[in-house]
Amino acid sequence: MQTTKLLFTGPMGAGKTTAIQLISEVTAVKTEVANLDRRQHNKATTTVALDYGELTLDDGAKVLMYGTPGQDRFNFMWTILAQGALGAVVLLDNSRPDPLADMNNFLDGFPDLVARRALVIGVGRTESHHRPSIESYTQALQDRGLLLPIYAVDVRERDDVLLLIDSLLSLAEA
Amino acid sequence: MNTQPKPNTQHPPMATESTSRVPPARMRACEQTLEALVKDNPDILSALVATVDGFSVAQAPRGPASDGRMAAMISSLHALGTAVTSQADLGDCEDVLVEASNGRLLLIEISSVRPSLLLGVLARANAPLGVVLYASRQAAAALTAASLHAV
Repeated sequence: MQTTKLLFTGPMGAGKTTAIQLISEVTAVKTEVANLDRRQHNKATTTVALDYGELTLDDGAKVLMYGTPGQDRFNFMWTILAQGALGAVVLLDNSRPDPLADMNNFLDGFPDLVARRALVIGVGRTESHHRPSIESYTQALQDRGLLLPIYAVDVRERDDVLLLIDSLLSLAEA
Repeated sequence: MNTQPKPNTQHPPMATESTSRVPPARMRACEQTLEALVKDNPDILSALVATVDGFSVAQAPRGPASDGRMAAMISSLHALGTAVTSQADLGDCEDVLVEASNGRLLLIEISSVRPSLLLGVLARANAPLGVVLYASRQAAAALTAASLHAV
C-alpha cells in the first residue's frame, strides 16, 4: 500500500503539534520542552525536534505526518524533515505580528517544495483577527509567482486538518 | 499554476534569536566552569551549555557567537533521545553520545536545575571515553552548583 510523507510547518504557536495529535491514529511522537522564550510566544512548551503521526486514508493509503519546529534557529530540522516529503502544510497564525512575513519565511525555508508547488496554506485565528485577509495572502503568493490553496482553518477541528491534507494530496497528484 | 514569476523582493529580515532567559550571573558561572573543563582536559576541544529549548547560555573556548545553531541542534538531539527512550520504555534519557570519524559529542542533561540545562562536550576521536565522561559529569555537577548559587 502506498505510503506518503507530509510535513506540517509554520511559526511557533500555529498549531502544528495540535493538528498532528488530533488526527494521528497512533500515539503521536512529540518533542516538546519548556518554552523559555515567552516574547516569541506565551505558551508553556515548544517543539524542538519533530512531531510524528500516522493516518490511514479511505483508500487504504497511509500518510506519515511530520511536524517541524517553528523557530528559525531550528531550521536545520526543516531541511532534514523535508527530505522525501510529498508536500507541506504551512500553518499560519493571524494573531501574530506579521503573518505574511511568516508565510514568506517558511516558503523561503522550503525551496524544493516551492519549486514543485507542493504546499497548501492554512491560516488560523482569522475569526478573532480579520487582517491580513485571505486576499492579502493570495496577493503575497502572487508577488512570488505562486498560486497555492489557502484556507482559513481551526486546527482543533478534525475536518479542517483533513481538508488541508486532502488538498495537499490532490495538489501533488495533479 | 505558476502565473507571472517576479523577482522575489519579500525576504523578511530573519529575527535574531540569540538571547536566552538565563540571568547574566548564571551565564558567567557556566562560562567559568566550561573554561576549566576545556583547560584541564586536552582531549576536550570545546564545550557549551544550552537551554532545553535551544538557546546558547555559555561556551568555551570563547569565540565568535557562532554557537547558536549548535545550541539548537543539541536541544533537538536531546529531545529525540528522550522521545526514543520513552518509545522504547527505557525511562528518562540522561546522556546522548555521538561517535564520529573525527571526534565525539557527549550530551548531558543537567536536570537538577529547573528548567534544565544541556551540556555539550566535543572531544577528540581518540580521547578515552571514560575520561571524557568523568570530566563532563564533574562539570555538570559544578554547573548545577554554580547555577544554584548564581540565580
